[in-house]
Amino acid sequence: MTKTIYWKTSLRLWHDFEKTNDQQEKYEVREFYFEYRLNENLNFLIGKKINLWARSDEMSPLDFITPENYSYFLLWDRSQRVTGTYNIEASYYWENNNQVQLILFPYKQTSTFAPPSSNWHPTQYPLSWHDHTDYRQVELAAKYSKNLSQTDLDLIYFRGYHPFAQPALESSGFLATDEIHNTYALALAQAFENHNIRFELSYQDKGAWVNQKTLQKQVDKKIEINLGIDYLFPNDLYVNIQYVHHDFLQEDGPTDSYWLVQAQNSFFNDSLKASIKVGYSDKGNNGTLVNPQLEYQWAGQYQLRLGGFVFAGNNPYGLFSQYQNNDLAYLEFHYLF
Amino acid sequence: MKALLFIFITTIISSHCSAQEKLDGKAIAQKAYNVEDGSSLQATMEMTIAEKEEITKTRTLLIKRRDSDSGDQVRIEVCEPQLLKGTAFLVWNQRNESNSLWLYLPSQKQARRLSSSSQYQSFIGSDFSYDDLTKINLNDHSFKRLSDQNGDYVIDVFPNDPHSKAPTKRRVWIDHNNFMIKKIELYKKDELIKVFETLKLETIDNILTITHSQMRDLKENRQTNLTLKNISYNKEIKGSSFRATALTKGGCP
Repeated sequence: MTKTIYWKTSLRLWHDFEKTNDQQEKYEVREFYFEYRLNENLNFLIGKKINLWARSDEMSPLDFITPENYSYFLLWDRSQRVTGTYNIEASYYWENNNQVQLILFPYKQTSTFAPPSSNWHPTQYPLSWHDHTDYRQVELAAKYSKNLSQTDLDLIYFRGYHPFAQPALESSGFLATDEIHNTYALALAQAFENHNIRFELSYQDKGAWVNQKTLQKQVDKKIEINLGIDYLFPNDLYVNIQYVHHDFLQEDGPTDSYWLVQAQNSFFNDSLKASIKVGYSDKGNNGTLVNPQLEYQWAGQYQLRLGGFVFAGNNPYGLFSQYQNNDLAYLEFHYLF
Repeated sequence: MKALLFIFITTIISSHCSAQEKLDGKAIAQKAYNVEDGSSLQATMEMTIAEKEEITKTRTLLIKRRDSDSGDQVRIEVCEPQLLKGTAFLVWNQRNESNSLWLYLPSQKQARRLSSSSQYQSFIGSDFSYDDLTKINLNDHSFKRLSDQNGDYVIDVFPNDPHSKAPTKRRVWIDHNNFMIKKIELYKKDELIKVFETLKLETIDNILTITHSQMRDLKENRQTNLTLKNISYNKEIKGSSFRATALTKGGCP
């Protein structure tokens, strides 16, 4: 009998020595789903699953269907921050290089932020957040993907709403308002001889943000651009440059952009990897982030990481500079079984 | 447009070529490509990486290959060790276009396209590059036949693009009788950097198959051995295995 039903589960346990959040989960079911492969062209899936649609890296406008744990900001890389959503999903393939994917999200699932008592609480959100959650929800996502000779193309549609916490200054509570929004996005990945270019463009017909002066929610159209270049040098030095731009199409709406540059090289038969990540945000949010890291792997099951984060800048609302007092070093041990 | 498949090259034992002396370098390469290798292949590959002849790493890989309308497609997936499990490499060898390559890393949960030069990087820490595991495009290379040695054809293969990151020269030894590759020397700027050798040939399903091969990195004093097991030819392999969008779906047992 042909095997047609597959399942997968992924768990995570951790202990927060810093007590960043007393309510912080110490365990998490990241994925648990069943997949039914009806035939070669049509698959169905139900359960909790991580969907990463970004062609580029870091804070992609295409990845907000997947909740992330921002309690530690960028201290966890994206693969560690993301967690699954409860999905009902169908995928249809044809001609070997075309795919349509349709996902329904029946339950509310949100990203997680550190609470106001934490050093990692984002100052861009001046008041406490209801459930410390994200501000946009997706109830339907659809993607068409095509693999051309040297190009990968995605056309994406999201339908969602803002369970946005309307700040109520006279109390500590919030009045949630639902604003339906539609997002249309395009993603391209193009391979060249020595480098790849990844480009993402997203247009959201109702983007929500907090006006720092009035502490009131504002709703406006929003454009996000993410441009990434990977370059591989002859000595195997890998460099990844990301440019991220957010723009609310309103006169006093916020505009921000930042750069992330990552360089990595491997040594001793790929056992040792050295990398450094540098982030720079501009547009009045001047600030920098520096993250050097060494990773050592052995015996096929063990990883040891040593690294640190240094934040700089004076702007208390800057993407990186707001954490200027949070410099740290870390040592991680990973065991895979 | 044809290509040489270095690692999985197979053939039905063919009759001796009576006109061998008349063949030029490209014709020999073309014949090496044209040997029978089945419409599909599925096998388990055991990879051992040794430094100074002491085995330091082992890998188990699942390999699938099939002919397609536009060329052929190869998928290689890491089954062991756990640290690399699920890592998958996909290449579409296309007759009239450049090869398309994708690499899937489980942590990223999405297949990422590799740039052309990336294919000359080490494949999962071995002495084989991604390029060594795929075909070269004959139209992108020029060939020069040298004097035969010990009953083998010897040809030099050069990339036509002077800016290519490919080896600047490959010297290839090909068996007179069956056009199987016996040895390849890979040069960078006239310096011999790696040597591939066929260590064992077996006939499986009437197809002559390299079941044991070795790549030696002379600069690093390392070597990687590949052993093919559980080989099956000409069985239907679903096209879904060769979709870039479906590399997330692992095939390891």
